[in-house]
Amino acid sequence: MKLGNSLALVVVLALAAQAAVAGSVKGKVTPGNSVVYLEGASGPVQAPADKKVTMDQKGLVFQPHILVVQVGTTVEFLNSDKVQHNVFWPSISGDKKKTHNMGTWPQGERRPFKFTDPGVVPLLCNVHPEMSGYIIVSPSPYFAETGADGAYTLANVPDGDYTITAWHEGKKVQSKKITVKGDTTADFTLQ
Amino acid sequence: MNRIYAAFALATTLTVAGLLLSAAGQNPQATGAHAGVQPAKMVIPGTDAGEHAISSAVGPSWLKHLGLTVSQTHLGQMGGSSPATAQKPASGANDPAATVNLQSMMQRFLTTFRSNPEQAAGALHQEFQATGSDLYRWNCQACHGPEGKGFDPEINSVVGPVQGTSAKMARDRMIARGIEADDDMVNQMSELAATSLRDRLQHGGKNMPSFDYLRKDEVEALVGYLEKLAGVPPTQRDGLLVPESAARVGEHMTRGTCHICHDATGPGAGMGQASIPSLASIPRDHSLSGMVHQVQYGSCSTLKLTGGDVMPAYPYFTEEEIAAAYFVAYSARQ
Repeated sequence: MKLGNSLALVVVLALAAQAAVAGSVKGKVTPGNSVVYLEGASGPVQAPADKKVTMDQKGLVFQPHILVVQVGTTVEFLNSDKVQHNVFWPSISGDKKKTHNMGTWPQGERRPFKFTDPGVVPLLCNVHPEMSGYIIVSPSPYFAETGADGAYTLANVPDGDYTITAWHEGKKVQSKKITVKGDTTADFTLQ
Repeated sequence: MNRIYAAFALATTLTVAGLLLSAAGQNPQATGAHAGVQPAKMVIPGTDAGEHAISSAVGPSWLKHLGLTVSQTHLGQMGGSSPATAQKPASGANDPAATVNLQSMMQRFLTTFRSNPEQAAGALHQEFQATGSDLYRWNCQACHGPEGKGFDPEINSVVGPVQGTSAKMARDRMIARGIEADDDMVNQMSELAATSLRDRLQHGGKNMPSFDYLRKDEVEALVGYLEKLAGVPPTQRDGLLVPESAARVGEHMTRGTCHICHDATGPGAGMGQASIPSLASIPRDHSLSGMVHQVQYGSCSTLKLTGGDVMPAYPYFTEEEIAAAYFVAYSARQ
């Protein structure tokens, strides 16, 4: 084989190898302030970073109102208020068997919980029933929270077949199958 | 009532104290500050003291316990000298339609205590019906306000915690938010909230005193009223009536409201001093009508100029309720 041809072959092979990793999913969710996540990543899924994630209760509201984490993450629930607060969830993604009561505790105390089930966790406080918050547990490392404009980007997604889910408070969750190949688009209009 | 006050002006407070004290067989003696462990039982002859014995406030005021002055709390900012034009409750213990109510019993007491101490004592212990809203006014309103909303951030609202006790409200809220909930779980959470509410009343907390002197039926009637304040759908506690007596009303008032600021025993207010008179000193130093006026109108405004602690006005208490407190206050002698 002539040298020129084998060089060309190597370059083409290298380019093909890169394209298999650098996929992404972009899109828009209507209305905004939504959460999007992927499910069905093939191959080993990297574990969540060993970082402390906190859900606080401050000023009689859950802060942040929406928290998105990867499955396997431990969330620390903190009470920063002078009053006692309680944290419980009645279900996870509608599964009532996954209900859990973290208990009621005073200012300054933190209680951890490791989320091993993916889905939507609606947080409530039974001392202040008007309080509400959400933890969205993504089954994969590919998740994003949109801004008010609803735009999102999931970067570095390996090409492949996935299920993409969009959630917005008060709207019906929507999921659809997508095939990620390079830059892929997925838009949602939630009802 | 004015006629009765006039009759009162004839008798000095000491005579009153002397009569009741001698009836109880004890020596009139203004003791110094003495925080007893057991509350003193006011024993009046002619009644079954066991059933009707009431206990008086004991020890230093709740504010002293917290290390606060009145001016540092919302009570000191409410100001005195406000006209007693607040809506006087006309139901429950003060129900004019009831043949036996607080007003008739206090009137009978005040007209008979000199001539017939035994009959007067009977009037103090005669039972009539009271409501949860009465109990709230006597024990809770001074701190938590007329609607239970408290005074943020010093005093918490009771609305949230009471709403948490309603399984129905919780279920409705979850449905409105599109959240799936298991009935058992909702019931369990609301029962936990109900237990913790009663626990709070029983033991108090860091900033809230304990109300362990409330009977079980009084607690339920009170919770029934709290449910009303919190907008919770009515439960079997709604409008619950409980037996009370004039003596017991005095106990609610002194232990539930007065003792927040006034020590049970100790010196009276000094001239030019920023001091709060002890409960025991009030019937010794003040006439009934003087005290009624002070409670309904608050401290005179010049007191603020001399740096004294200003007593807020309590226009939501009736004259008879204040009178009942007057006669129980004097019993806080040990």
